[in-house]
Amino acid sequence: MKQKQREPFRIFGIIATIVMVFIGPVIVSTYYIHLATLVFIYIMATSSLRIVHVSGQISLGHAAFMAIGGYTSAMLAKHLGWSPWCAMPAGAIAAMMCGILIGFPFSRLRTIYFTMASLFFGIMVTNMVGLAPGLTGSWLGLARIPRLFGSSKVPYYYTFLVLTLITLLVLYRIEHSRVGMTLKSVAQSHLAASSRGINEAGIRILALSIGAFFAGLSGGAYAHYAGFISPVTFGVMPSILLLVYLLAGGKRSFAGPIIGTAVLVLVPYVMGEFKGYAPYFQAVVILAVIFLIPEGMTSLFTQIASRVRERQERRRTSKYAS
Amino acid sequence: MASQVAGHTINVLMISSIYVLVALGFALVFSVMRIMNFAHGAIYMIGGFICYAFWVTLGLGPWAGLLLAMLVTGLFGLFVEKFCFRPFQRDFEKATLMAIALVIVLKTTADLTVGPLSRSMPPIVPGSVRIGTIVLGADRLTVFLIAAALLTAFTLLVQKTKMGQAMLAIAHDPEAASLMGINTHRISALVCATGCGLAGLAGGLVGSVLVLHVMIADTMLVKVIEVVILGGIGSIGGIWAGGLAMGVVDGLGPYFLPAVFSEPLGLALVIAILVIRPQGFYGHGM
Repeated sequence: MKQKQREPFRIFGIIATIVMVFIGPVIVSTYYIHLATLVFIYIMATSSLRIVHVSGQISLGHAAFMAIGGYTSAMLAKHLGWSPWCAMPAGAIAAMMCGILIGFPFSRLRTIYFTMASLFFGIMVTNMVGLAPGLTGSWLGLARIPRLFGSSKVPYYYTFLVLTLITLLVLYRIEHSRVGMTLKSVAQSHLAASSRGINEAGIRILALSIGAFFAGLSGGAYAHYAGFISPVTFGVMPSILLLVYLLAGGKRSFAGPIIGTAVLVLVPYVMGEFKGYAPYFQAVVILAVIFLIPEGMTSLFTQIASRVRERQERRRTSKYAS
Repeated sequence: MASQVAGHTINVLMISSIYVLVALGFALVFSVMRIMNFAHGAIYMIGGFICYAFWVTLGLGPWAGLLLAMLVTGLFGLFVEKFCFRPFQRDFEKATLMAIALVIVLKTTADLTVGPLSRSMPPIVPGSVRIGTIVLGADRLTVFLIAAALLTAFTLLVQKTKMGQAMLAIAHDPEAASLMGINTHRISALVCATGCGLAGLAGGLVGSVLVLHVMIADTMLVKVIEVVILGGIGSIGGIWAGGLAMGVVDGLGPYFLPAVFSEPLGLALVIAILVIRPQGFYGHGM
C-alpha cells in the first residue's frame, strides 16, 4: 500500500529527469552545456573504473587508459586523417589491448601491490609521450586535434549523452550478469572463489580490459571535444580524482560514480573566483566519506529517507498511543 | 679528470643519501603502521618550503631554517599519526584515501601560497673544498655529510637502541609486541614524527643544491616508492642499497641515456620487480 503511494512520485521524478536531460540544452546557456558535456565524459571514465573496483582492485592509474585512448584516437585523426568517428573506437580498442596486456602480469597482484603497480603504470604511460615528440607533442601537449562537430556545443552534448548511456547500459548489464557476480565473489574472497572453480586471473583481466575499453572511449571523447590533450590531462592527479569521484559517490551502488562525478566535477566551476580552493572541498568530501558516509553520497539519500520514514513511523505510533 | 670523477661521485652520493633519507621514513611508517603514506612526498616538499621561509624570507640563516623545517614537519607527523593514520591502521582503502586527502591539502596549500614558480636557496656552505688536486663543491659535500650523518644516526637508533628494537618488534608482529609490554601507539607516533621530520629536512637540503617546486612532491614520492620496492620494505640495508642504485641511475643515467628513455624504462623495471618479486631484493613481504 505504502509502496503504491510512492510509485507515482517516483515515475514523475524519473520522467522529469529524462525530460530535463534531453530538453536542457535548448534552455540553458552554452557554459552549462559545456559543463554537462565534461560531466558525461568523466562519468564514462569513473563508471569504467568502477568495474575494476568491483573486482576487488584499487587502481590509481586508470587515467592512463584514458590517455592511451585519447592519444591513439587523436593521433589517428590528426596524422593519418581518420574520421574522429572511426578514431574514437580505435582508441578504445587500443586501450583495451593495453588493458589485456597489462592484465596478465597485474592479475598476480592483489591489494596494495596492484595499487602501486597501477600507479607506476599510470606514470609510465604519461612519461611515454616523450618517446615520440613529433607525434605526441611531448609535454607541451597535442593541439588542434580534429573535432567531431563545429563550434556549437549542443551536438556534443547529445552525442556524449548517448555514449554515456550506452556505456552505463553495457556496464550495468555486465555487472548484473553472471560475470558481475563472479567479479564480486573474487573481490570478496579469492580463495573461496577459486575453490569454486572460478579463474581468478582471467576474470580480473576481463574486468581490467572492459574498464580500459570504456576509459579509452572517454579519453577519445575528451580529445575530440577539447581539441587539446597533454600528459597532465591524464596524469597521476586525474587518476586519483577518478578514484575519489567513485568513492565519494559510493562504491557499492551503480549510481555512485554518476552522482560523485556530477557533484565533484561541477564544484570548481560553481565556486567562481574561489576556484583555486576547490581541492580543499574535494579533501573535505574525502574526509566525509571516511568518517561520516562510508558508502558515499548515494547512501546519504537512503540514510535520510530511512531517518524520515522512522520519524513518520514514530509520529504515527505516538498518535495511536494518545 | 680526478676532480670530475670526484664531482660525479659526490653528486651520486648526495642524491642517494637524500633518497635514502626520505625512503627510510616512508618504509618505517609502512613497516610499523602498515600504512602506505602517499603524503610523504608532499611533506618533503612542504619541508623544503618551510626551510625556505625561515632561511630566506625571515633571514634566520641555513641552520635555523633546516632545524625548524625538521621540527615543524616532525610535529606535523605527530599530528598525522594521531588523527589521520591511527584510526585506520587495519583499513587499507580508508588509509589510502586519508593519505590522498593529505596530499591534496598540502599541495593546494603550496599552490596557493608559493605559486607555480620554482625557488632555490643559496648554498649552505659557499665556495669549494680542495683535497690535494681534487676540487669539490662545498655545498654538495655539506649536504651529503649532513644526510649521511643523520642516516647513520637513524640506522644506529633502529638497530642498537631498545626503542629501535621495539620498532622492529612491532614491524614483525604488532600484537606480540604489545603483549611484551611495548607501547605501540607511542612507538608509531615516534616513527611517524621522525620519518616526516627527516623528509622535511631532506626537502630543505635539496632546496639548497637543486630547486624547490610544488611538483617535486610527486617526483620524490615516485622515487621513494621505487627505492623501497627495489630494496624491499622490511630491511634497512635493502633501502640503503636501493637508494644507492637509484642515485647512480639518476646521477649518471643522463650521460648514457636521454631522460626521455630512462624514465619509462625505470618505471617498467620497477613494475617488473613488483610483479616478479614483490618483496624486493632484500627484506620480506609487506
